[in-house]
Amino acid sequence: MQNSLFATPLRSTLLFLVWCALHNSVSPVVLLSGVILALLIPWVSRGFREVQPQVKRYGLFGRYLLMVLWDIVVANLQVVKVVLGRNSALKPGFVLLPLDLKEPLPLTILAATICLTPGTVSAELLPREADAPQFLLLHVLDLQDEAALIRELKQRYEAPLQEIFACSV
Amino acid sequence: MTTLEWLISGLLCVGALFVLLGSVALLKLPDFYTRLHGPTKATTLGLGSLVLASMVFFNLQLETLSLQQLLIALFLFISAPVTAHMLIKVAMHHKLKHHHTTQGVDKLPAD
Repeated sequence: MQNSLFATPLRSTLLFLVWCALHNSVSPVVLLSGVILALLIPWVSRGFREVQPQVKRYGLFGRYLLMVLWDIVVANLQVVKVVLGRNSALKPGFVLLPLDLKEPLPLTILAATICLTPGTVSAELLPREADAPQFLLLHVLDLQDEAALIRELKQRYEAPLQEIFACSV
Repeated sequence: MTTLEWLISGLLCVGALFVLLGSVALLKLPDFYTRLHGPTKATTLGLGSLVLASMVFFNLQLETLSLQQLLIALFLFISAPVTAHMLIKVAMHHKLKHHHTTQGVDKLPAD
């Protein structure tokens, strides 16, 4: 099953749709090459595949994406405010965010979210050993209250992700 | 001008403004770590807005189906955080100087 051409139907469908959208057409050539690529690419890259937790609650995931989109807008206004202010008033800082999530896929989504939203960039996952409690090192553009920031990130992003993937609870 | 044209122009202006602000951030902020925040955020929103304007123009004004813009947005949202993450990792590895008001420098990994 793992080696069959149809091992990852979802991924194949997504590749097919992206291919059609890239060509912006549904002519037979595009459809045929799309089907071939959608089956071949996951098959060729099967060696890299790791079993990841699946999205269990799609509704919640959709809401999460919308929330992140909105937060990107808000985060931008904050960044703009900081950018237009004086450099000497700037209070950047590094923060360690303790993690409850352990699985790579939700962690990646969390790190990406943190990167796109509230004035923070994820820098490093610490420590690298698998079973030690893990932290995400963040760089914050304008650090006012560290404890409040950590609390907000955990409540707003990590908790919903745990629910969506139904893991580490 | 029609309402649609107003909408498209508005989106284009907002997009251009945010891309400009992202670039200003690159120019003005004091150290590498803070400069990284400009392109990851302001430019993402600016480009998102430009992409949205393009979608409105092609799909509603010209009434042709055009989905490539959605893909641009998708690829951008996937690649921007990864790029930022790699850049800041490299910066820490090279121990680039941070702005003198930076807090929590002791939390950086030792190696």
